[in-house]
Amino acid sequence: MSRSSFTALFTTADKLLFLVSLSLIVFSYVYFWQTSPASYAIVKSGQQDSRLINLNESKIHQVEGRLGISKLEVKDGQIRFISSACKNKICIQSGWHQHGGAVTACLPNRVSVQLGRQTSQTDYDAIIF
Amino acid sequence: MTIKFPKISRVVSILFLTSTLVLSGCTEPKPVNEFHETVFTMGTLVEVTIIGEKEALAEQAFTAILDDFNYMHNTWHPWKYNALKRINNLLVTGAKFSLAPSILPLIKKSQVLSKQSQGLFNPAIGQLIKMWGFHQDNLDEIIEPPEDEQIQAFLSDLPSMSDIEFSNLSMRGTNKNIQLDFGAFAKGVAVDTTIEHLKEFGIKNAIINAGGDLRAIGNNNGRPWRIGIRNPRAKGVFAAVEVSGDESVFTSGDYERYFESDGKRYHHIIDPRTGYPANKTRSVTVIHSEAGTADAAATALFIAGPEKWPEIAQAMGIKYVMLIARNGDVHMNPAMAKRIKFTIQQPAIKLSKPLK
Repeated sequence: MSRSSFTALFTTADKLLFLVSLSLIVFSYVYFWQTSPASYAIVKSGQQDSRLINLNESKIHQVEGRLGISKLEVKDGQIRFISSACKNKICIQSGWHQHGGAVTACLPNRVSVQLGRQTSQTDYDAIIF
Repeated sequence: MTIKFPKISRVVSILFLTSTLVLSGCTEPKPVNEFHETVFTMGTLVEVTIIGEKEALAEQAFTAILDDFNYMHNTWHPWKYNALKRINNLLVTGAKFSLAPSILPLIKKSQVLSKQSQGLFNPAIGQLIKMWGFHQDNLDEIIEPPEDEQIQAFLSDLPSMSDIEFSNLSMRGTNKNIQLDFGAFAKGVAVDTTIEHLKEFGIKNAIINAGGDLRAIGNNNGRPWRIGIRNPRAKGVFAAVEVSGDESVFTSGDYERYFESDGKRYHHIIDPRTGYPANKTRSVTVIHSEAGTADAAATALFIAGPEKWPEIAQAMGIKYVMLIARNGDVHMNPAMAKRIKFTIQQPAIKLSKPLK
């Protein structure tokens, strides 16, 4: 089949339809299949009731743990430990967390932070380390 | 006035209709019940996720496995007074004593895995682990590494799992240095035990993630479970893997437990051949059906390092391995390379020969 006869198979509307479909596919991939940030975190400790933290509100939260106070900073949809009553500070070194399904903790101080999922299809079900 | 739309050809109409019908099948099913609970047990943070069950059943199953975890934690804890401590006290005497049912399955399975790993997985070196100061809940205390003389004296009569003999209903130790420490195995066995317990409740889709090591059964609402792997030296997730059916993903890393002395960092994975922390690896990730085997293999392969890991993995029956060497090189077998998806720019990968 020559190129001109192949092109003749498609009308202007066909080409428009192809363009719209392609844009829709690209949009759907970006919107639905990229890892989305979490919108909230559940903070637990042995000393206080669990609390829900909004990750869209920049703030520093204080949580009382077994050894003392852990401070959590929320900024730009992320959360991190900025200080804790433990010695090794592994919780602080783990840095920012933003993926839905992620869990971080200060084990010596018994403070855990679990990032909430927005939808079941865009996040990790578990994170290993 | 009539608006004249351009005509769509018949070929394209058929193509468009067919693809619309096919793609509509890709829609993810409606979300089902999701139970998610996090708890401190076994000295770590345990996350339990159960999908597609009534909340009452999920709650009941969660309470039951929490009891399991607490029981195993209390029985197998390496430095508290418990059943394991009693056995350790009796093993050093060399005299026969009656089998301990709560510890026996761990000993029997460890003997097999230890032999397969050429002794790199060696739960008999509890005394050496204690010497290094890792027998305490948190490493906040000031710890000094042991003297080299002390280590060499221990290595001159290195205990192994074959130093435990069984006869009829009794057992005995044949090495005065033997002290069992299942730190590289107990968590895996606990995950296996609790997953089996969930199955007995009729639960088909679940993940138990014990401090970053997990076993997943079934799937998440019809799609595979998506597991992120955290970067051992930087922030965030650097790779992901999908699991479904019944698989465990375990990682051993030099960043999990460590202390610093005179500006030098000493981690908890001790090489039984040298008596010092293994120094060729940053982390090893293993996928295997059983969590206990995956746990032991992750430790053994970490110690084996970038040259020897394929040989040990093969002997232990492991089919999927990723090892990040101390210099940052990423090693894996071809089957693992097909499953791992990097979320950062893909690093250069050193592929091993296929594992049979």
